[in-house]
Amino acid sequence: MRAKLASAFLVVCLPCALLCAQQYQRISTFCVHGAALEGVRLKPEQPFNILWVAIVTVVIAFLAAHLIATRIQMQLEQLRRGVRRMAEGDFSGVAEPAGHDQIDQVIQAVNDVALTLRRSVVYRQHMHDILDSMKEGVLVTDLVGQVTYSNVVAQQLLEAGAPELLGVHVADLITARWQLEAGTLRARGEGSIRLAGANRREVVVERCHLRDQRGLLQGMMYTLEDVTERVALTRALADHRDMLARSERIAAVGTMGAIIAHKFSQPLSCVRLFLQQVRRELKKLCVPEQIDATLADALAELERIAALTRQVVQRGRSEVNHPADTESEVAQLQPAVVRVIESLRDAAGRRGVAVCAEPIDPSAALHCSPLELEEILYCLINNSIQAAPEGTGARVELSFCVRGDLGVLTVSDSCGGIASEHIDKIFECFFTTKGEGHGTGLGLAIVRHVVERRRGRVDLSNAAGVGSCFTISLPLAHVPGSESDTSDGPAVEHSLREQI
Amino acid sequence: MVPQQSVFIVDDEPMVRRALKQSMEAIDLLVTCFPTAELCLEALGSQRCDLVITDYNLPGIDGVRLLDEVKQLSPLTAVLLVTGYGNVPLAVESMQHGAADFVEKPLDEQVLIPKVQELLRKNDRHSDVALTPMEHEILRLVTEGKANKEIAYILKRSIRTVENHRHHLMQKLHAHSTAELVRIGLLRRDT
Repeated sequence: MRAKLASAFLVVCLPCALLCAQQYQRISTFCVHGAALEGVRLKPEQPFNILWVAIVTVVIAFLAAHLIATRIQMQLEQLRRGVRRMAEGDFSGVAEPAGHDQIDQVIQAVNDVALTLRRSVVYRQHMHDILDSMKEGVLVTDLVGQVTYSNVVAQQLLEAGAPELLGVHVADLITARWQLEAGTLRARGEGSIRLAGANRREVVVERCHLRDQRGLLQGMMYTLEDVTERVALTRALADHRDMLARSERIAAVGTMGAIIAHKFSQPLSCVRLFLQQVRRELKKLCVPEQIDATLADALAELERIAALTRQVVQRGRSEVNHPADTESEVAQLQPAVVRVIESLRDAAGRRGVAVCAEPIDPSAALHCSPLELEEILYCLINNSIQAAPEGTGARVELSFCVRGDLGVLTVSDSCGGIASEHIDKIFECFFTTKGEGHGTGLGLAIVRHVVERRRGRVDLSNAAGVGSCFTISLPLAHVPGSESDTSDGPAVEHSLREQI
Repeated sequence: MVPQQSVFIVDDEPMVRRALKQSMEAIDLLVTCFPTAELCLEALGSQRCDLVITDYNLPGIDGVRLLDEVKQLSPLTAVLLVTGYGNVPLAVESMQHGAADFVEKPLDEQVLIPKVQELLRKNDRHSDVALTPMEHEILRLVTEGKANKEIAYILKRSIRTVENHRHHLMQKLHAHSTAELVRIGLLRRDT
């Protein structure tokens, strides 16, 4: 390049120098002749001098050409480096143009291109930042459906990095049955969206078209919204509402029962007082003992009705006035078990059912009222007894264990279990499989209500045709064996092994 | 002869009134029944009554208000309130209003009769105590609202003597205050 420029200069400068030398010689000759005419004798110049002038001129021309060539070369080199940097992604510009010649104008034009590119990069980065800060995942695909962009949330949801997702066909990531919802295509539900990874998330996917300014389709954009937590919360809320509704129903039933029981107390008072008066009068008349015994039986039955009435009134009142006080009320398990088994002894005997209780630590106590605990046990054991087919030697077994801070009561039986079509309904109010007039359909509803009110839970495992097993978990008030409980365990255990 | 003690029964249910009446008559009490509290209060002004057995739920004036009225009209009459089962707040309220006791429904003679007898015995106890003529006179004067000084002047005894008699009187009648002594004095005068 340099040589080319230099030779170009030589080609231009040499004829010029020769021309100059020739002109100089002419002038010199003219001057000598002029001087001779005027009588001045001038010493004629030597041709040697002319050659020197030519040589100097050539050298100067060569140097000038070299300088110009070097400058142009430097500018071109700067331009080359700048363009190379741009190709590598550095859009800081090529160089500052030094003047206004053509090369400077080229440099200025390249700088403008770099500025435009730099703005475009900043804008792009800004867009990515916005997309990354979205709580929804975003996938962009081209016209054939291959992923061209994925934001951070989408990468997390799909458990893959951006390079792995790039170029993957969207059908390999999302398989969904699309449906039109409020004007947009939506895929909803766990089953309809296939996402990678072990952590199954519930995601709602929306799809929309990406168009350019002219309205031409450029690709598709998919937004992935992780609704796992929201769905879980919604479910929890629905469960809670269900529980509240159940509680309200039970409370309403309790209140209704209390009102009815209260109304019963008037006629009960009269009947009992009248019977007592008749009995007293008859005693004065010395009637046979048998009549007095019959009256005594009638009064005993009345007492049972009165006790039941009291119980219903108390339940109704406790539902209305006293929300569960989970801390202060404590029920000893063992006495409750003994009492309930004792009270069901006759009923079990009539149906030939054996009711057994495993030895229970006498110090075991649960957070609920004694009445509630007995009610739970009574309901579960009584249901088993009533469900048992007569004369088959069915068994009801009661056991207790401690799991963490919960006391777990298990009532299992071999009394035929619950028919599978009834499983969903057994905890509902007024659902009963017992015959007309034999069941209120409130027992298990009350059991669940009481247990949930005490922050416990009821679980059921059932083998239709064989037997069922109810598991009641209630907060422990006293962990068995945690203190110096050296009471007469074995003796009580023995008495607990009730065989009816 | 000890006069028959009188019991008022207030209940809006005729059957309950009848049952209660028969139970009370069985223990030799003079029984009068009223369907409302208003009628009972009316009768209280003209008839002697040792005990009022009243239901809490009454049309018009309820049991607790009747209790207040009875305490004003006839402070010596005991009131037994009949409440629904386990209504502890009501029972507490009735005791605060001066009810002698309360019984829960459904009524049971075995609970009711001992309570009635106990209440009547308490009211009656003071009239059985034998007093000397001097003590009797002092009780009468105390009931009339006389101070020890006045009593001493009327009976022509020293104040110290009157104080001694009065002290013995209170011991005999188990009275812990002058107010109680006045109440017992009034009761004895009535009987």
